[in-house]
Amino acid sequence: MVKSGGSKNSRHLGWAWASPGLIFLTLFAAIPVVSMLFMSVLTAGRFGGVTTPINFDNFSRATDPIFVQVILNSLVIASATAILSLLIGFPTALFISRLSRKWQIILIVAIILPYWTNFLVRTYAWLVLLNNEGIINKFLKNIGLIDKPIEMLYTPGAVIVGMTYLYLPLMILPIYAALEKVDKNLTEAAYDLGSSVWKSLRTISIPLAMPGILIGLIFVFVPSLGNFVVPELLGGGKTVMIGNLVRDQFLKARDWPFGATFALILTLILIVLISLQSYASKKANVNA
Amino acid sequence: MSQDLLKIRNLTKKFGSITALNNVSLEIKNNEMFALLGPSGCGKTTLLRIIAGFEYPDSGQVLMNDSDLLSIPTRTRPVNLMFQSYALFPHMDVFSNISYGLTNTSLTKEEIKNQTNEIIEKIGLGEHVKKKPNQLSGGQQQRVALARAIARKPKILLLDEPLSALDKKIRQEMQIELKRIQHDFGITFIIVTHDQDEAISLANRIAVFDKGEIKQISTPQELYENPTNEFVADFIGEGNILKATSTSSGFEHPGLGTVNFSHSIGAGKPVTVLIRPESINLTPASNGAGQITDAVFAGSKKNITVKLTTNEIVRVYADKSANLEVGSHVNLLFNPQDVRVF
Repeated sequence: MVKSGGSKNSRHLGWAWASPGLIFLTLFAAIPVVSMLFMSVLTAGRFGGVTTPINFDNFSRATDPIFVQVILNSLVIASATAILSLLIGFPTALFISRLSRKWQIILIVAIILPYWTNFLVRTYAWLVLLNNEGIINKFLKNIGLIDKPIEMLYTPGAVIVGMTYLYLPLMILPIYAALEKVDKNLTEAAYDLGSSVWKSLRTISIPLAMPGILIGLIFVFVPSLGNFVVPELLGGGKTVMIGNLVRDQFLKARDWPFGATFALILTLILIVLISLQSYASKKANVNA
Repeated sequence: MSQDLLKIRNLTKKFGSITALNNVSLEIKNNEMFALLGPSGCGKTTLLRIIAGFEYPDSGQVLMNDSDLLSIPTRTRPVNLMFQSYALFPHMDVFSNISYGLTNTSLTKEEIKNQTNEIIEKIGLGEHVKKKPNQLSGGQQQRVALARAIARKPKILLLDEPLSALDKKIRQEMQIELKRIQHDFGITFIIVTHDQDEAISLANRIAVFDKGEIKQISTPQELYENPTNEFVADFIGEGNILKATSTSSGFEHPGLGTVNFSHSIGAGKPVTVLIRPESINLTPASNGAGQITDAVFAGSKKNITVKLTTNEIVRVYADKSANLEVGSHVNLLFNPQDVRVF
């Protein structure tokens, strides 16, 4: 292991160890972000690309109420996705963490497996389920609960459900990892000391799983906020998110600087949120 | 109402093909320090978990003051458990840990605060109230676990291997402390342990378990002096266990010869003989029954190992000044009254 503040040699070794990661991050994270930064202050070329002069018009254009609304919409939909994932993911993770080792592994594999399937295919599956002639509507009609189909597809709800389905494993796994580390005796101690199941959850399991919950929320929120495929397929173009804006500006409007501006705004939102998460997580760890 | 606080009647519990408890019955008196002693996997922990309410027996009864305890849910049973690992809540400070059980009662915030502070003072944790469990030493953590478990004033406190995680000096301190607290709070203690020293030094009475069955229930002294079977004889204290044959007036051992009792146990049966190391006197004799193979000075005494002509090994505690050399031949002398035969 390399300790910080060790001898000169071991410090050089530290850089050597870190270099693959640093090179990767420089190439695929730092350079793109910096180039977005430059692009956003340039002017759109006639057929795409960028030219001079440098100006800050794009940032004032982005404050147009239409675009602000899209950003707010995206935040609401991504938050709803994260919260829905938490509501489904926490009980699932808790259930798995209470099983025998063998069943824990079987269920964790079962949760990860679909994640390896192409996500377009999995999103298309929801088209089949949710459309007016789809399985859910047909079933409800057959049992006589409804006369005419419920409009489920091409609503913000469909987008939230679709993204929840896509990213649920990213919620379950970190919460499971946190709960699995919690001493089973702690819940028994809580019952022994008179707690109900709900109180032991509220006072013991949830606080101790908090670092995992925070990671899960970020893991689901981040890809949801930038997602443009699910809003397109399940939202039917009626639900526009910030990801759609970025893509449309680059590929349809051919206004690269304006697209870069939105990409930058998206990145800024995520930086703020991840900082908040890491701060909250540190606090949760100190308490634990 | 009887003097017995807890009556356990014909308790049986199986986990798959393993029988953890086989038709176990015992009574525990009010204000008693009772120990369940046995090797690991003997069923003592299962019994503890049934009394606490974490397991349910396949058959049998548990009565507290003659009323059914098993029908009372875990959370309202007048029983609390001090876990072997202490199971302190790592995200709560000492005060919150100790008051946790009281927050599940109808007490007001003020009453909870007063009662918690009272316990903290009695157990001597005053300066640590605001600390988290990981800032405390092992002994302090155990005090917190103890305080938390008695805060709800249970009728019975269950202690799972209470001293096993502590080093020797703190163990002795804690032994005295546990007795004091048991006396001060007037709670019946049931201690589960695999360590005979722990059971002997703490308990008024001990139930010795083996393979899901009770082998003997008695006071520590009785268990040592009058074990009723080979398992207890071997498990409690140091002992020499020899195989012999009974005679009409005692027993015959190929190495020790014939030993006569006043009472008969029937002739010609294979028997097990227990002789404690301190009951044997060694006298040098060139044609003796055994030869000394090892002699270790141990402070107040000498630990001598004697090999009999039958190749059986006998341990003897001798006086530290005794002139007994390795290699010399000796006779083994003992009072037949100090011998137990099963």
